[in-house]
Amino acid sequence: MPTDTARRLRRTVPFLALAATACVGGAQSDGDGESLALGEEATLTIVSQFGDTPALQPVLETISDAWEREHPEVTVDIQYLSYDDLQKTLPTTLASGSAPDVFDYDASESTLGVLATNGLVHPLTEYAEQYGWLDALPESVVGRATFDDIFYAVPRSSEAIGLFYNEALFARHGAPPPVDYESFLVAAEALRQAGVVPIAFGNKDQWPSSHLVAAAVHASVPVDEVVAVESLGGDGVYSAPRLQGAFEVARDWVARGFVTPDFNGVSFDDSVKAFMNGTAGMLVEGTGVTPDIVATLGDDSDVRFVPFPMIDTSLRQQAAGGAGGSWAISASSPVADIAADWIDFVHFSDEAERLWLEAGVLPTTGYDGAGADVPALLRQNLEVVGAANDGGGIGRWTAFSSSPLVTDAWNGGGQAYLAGDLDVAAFTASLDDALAESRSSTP
Amino acid sequence: MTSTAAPVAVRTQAPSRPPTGRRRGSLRAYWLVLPALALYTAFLLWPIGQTVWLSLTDWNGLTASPTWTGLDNYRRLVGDDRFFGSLGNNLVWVAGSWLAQGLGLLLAAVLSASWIRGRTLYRTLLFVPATMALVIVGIAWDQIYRPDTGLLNVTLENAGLESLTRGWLSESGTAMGAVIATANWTYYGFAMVILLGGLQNIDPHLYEAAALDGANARQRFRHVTVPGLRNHITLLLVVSFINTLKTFDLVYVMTNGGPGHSTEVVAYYIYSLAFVTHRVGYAAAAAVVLTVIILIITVIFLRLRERERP
Repeated sequence: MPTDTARRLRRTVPFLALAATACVGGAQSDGDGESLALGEEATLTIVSQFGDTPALQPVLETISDAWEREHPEVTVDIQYLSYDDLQKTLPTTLASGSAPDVFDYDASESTLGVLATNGLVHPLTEYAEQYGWLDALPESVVGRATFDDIFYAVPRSSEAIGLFYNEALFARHGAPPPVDYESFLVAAEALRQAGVVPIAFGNKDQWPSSHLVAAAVHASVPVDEVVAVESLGGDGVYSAPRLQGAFEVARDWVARGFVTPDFNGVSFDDSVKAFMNGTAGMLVEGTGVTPDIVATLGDDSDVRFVPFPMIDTSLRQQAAGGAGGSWAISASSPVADIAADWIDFVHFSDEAERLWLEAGVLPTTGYDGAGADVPALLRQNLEVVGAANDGGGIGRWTAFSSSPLVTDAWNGGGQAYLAGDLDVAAFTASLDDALAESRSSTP
Repeated sequence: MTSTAAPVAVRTQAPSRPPTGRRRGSLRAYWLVLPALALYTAFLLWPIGQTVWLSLTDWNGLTASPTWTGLDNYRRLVGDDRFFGSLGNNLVWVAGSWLAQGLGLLLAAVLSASWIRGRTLYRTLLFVPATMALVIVGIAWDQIYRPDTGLLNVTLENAGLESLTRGWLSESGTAMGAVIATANWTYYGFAMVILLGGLQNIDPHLYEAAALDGANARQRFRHVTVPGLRNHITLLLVVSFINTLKTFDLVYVMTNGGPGHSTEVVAYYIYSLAFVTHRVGYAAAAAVVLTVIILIITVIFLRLRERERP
């Protein structure tokens, strides 16, 4: 006969095990709950990727404070993370239903698209109609945040990869301005011979190699062919001869000594610093670094920004890039209506558009900067984006647009390829394998 | 008959009818164990069970319900070159960690000599790296290995050894060695302290006897010190083996597994599968296999060690 104590023990152990199960794993909210209406007391939580760009934090706070003054019943709580940290933590918090109400995430199939198609992002179609967002945003921008025909986020910055160069350093070493590809090569060689690193490049973080190669790709391959490769619905492959040719161009820059030595051991931040302090003459990067350059060197620096020159001159001017971050609402947010109003104010109000542009964030709307106090370098950013939009278009982020599998294949492979440890056929084959797997698993 | 029945009765009754006090005591013991058991179940057994279950599913970590796929993840793992490449890197790391143990043994032997003044200070200083967080160590050594202004290359240049300077973490030929050297820097002090403890347990008369028999210092070290430290060396080998196979932080901080995949270890690969490419089920399968490998090799190691005992 078991004693009372033993019986209690037997009853208690399964209960504890059950309690333990509740500690592990999360319940996913379906996001179908009613939202608190604008005007009700609420707390709005926001996570921004401006952890990488501290210069933009006060801008967001200024604009958000202005919205809060109009809605004193709402408390806005903003948290800043680096994009790297955001990418690692946000999917899990979204899946557990504990994510912030509004989050700032890159708009592409491989990033926001993965979250949206798994039901973790609140569709914005109704809000877009209510606030007229689709009238303000160009179709190409809306397309970058639309997955399965549903609009999920408001892209908050246009970005394009171009060529930053130090005009004074060029003049000192007799390097011609890089107005076309030939002069780019001549300038790089002149700097190299003068003992100056021609192109600042740090690939320890693995993704910068995709920006370097993307410049060569978009200077050689028509945008529609790029999009066919960089999308799950496309049928392009990385081993296409034109893409392989562009990849080899980028590696040729490395072989000719045009980039920072030992680049796989140099961080992206250090490479940008090397460019800013004049130890390197050029930087092949996106417009996203402009706020830091302006903040560090001031409005009247020697840095200039031009489109990356076309290698295939039969093509009109193109650029790699697209949208930077985008404002999205988590599916589990109980304050989606309030969040939508905040997004509308923070991104679309006239005052906000001006402040963002003055801080170096290029608009995704048709805002032309009229009335804004814009430094020369920022004007050049706008001109580069405009030149690509008026020309062959802005393509995609190479290997970072379609699927995390392709991104992962790039991260290790890009380092090995540019270091000469992997030939172009093997590298593009590994990217194609990842792309094929991604496409086969997409419904 | 009667002569055999009595002992049987004694044997069967004795364990089934313990004194009442002892039974009450054992029940109290269960109650005392229960809190620890509950925590152990909640934070170890249950997650292990859940990981095994996830390894039998296809799950991206984002949807509510994983899809059952049976052993598919394990079948795929068998043909995964990257998994075996990272496992190979782990084994290279294991071999590299033996250098730290050798250094720890050497330092322990030297610092146990009574004629060295300030032994305690030396021991403390040498042990300091073992107390530091690996993330901090990784960041510090990352700066030391910097190709342009890193302390290592600058020192080599100042010593007239420019030809030896290189991008220690940027070249696939040196990156793994550089990371292992960093790990060893944090480990040799721990090995030294464990072995110093072992040395103090060796009877000094054994050394005297060996000396009387004509053994020189090297022979005393080989035939007295090493056998006397056998248990401690075994402990260090097992601990370093387990730590090395599950290592993650230094790789994450210093190389992200690169250049290429030259420093990628299994734990980093698992992290990449789960949190970069959202293949949580497959990552769980890799984690289960890694755990099984650690268990098997540890058991084999300990069994072999047991057999060697006199």
